Amino acid sequence: MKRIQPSYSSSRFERQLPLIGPEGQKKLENSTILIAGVGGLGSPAATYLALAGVGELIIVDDDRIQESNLNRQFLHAAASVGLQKVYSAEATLGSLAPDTSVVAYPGRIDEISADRLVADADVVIDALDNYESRFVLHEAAWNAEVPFIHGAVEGFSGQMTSIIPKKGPCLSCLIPAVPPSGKVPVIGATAGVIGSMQAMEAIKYLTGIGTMISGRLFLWDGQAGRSEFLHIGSRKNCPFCSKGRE
Amino acid sequence: MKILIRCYARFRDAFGEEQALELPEGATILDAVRTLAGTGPDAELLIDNVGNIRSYVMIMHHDVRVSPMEAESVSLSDGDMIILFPPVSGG
Ligand SMILES: [Zn+2]
Repeated sequence: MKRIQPSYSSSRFERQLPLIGPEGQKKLENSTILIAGVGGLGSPAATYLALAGVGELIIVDDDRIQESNLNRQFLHAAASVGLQKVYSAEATLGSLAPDTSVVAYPGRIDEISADRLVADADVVIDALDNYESRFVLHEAAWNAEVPFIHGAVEGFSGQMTSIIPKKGPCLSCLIPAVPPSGKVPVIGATAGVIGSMQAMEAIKYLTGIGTMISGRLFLWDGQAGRSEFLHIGSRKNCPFCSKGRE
Repeated sequence: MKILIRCYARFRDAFGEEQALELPEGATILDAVRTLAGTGPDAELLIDNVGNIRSYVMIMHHDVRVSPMEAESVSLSDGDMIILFPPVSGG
């Protein structure tokens, strides 16, 4: 939880206060969210969370902007190709929501950085593009008991779920194995849908409103216009979370 | 008997959105997935070279997840639907 109180005028959040109340707004203002990845998913997730009045975003990404990112990564302007993504994201978020403080970390998620980054966060948004980093960050979040909001996209399809540590299944329970993948094609709007859902989950968790997408994996195929929920309990022999569980 | 298989994401690209399969009585989920794999050019997306379902294939049957290893022990009934989904990874 952080200390700086935003100084917005009273009408800034007029259209959402009836939904979350002044207490809910206060909770968002006092929250810190870690956004891991400021690409296709991180663009909508970070933008909607900053616009909602979240007090602090820690944004992490070690990539520089490439021209091929621009079909979906709207935190970055065309003129910013070649810059570190976190600094471009910091500038865009600063202009959209000047009272949200943004901490930019242009490094990799590894065992050491993950623990440190998660320690300051109330919620983690998994907007990463590979499972290796995801599982490292997930372990850090699980151990620190910080909710981990997972999203991933490919083509016209996406998936998302909220992992609430020690209260439900972990990421390994939900996704025991992953197919090999390289650079995947993606329509920008696919990342828009899933990244926006991740922002929604974070807002629900922080304000205590609604029902989390937890213990179930949301599967969505935009091309077919279909979605499912895969209901999944904790795996009995989960190599990650079954230790110490009966 | 007739069953339906609905595919998501990369599996939909390879095998279509939904396929009705005609299977013998007593067929299992493993039989159904092997049959589906034979209908497209990308069988190896679903099954390995000894005919086992790949470990990453998420299978849903009657709202319950079935692991690829259990697929041989789950018998299907006429009218059943199976959903197949590959975890996606992009961000
Ligand atoms: Zn687990």
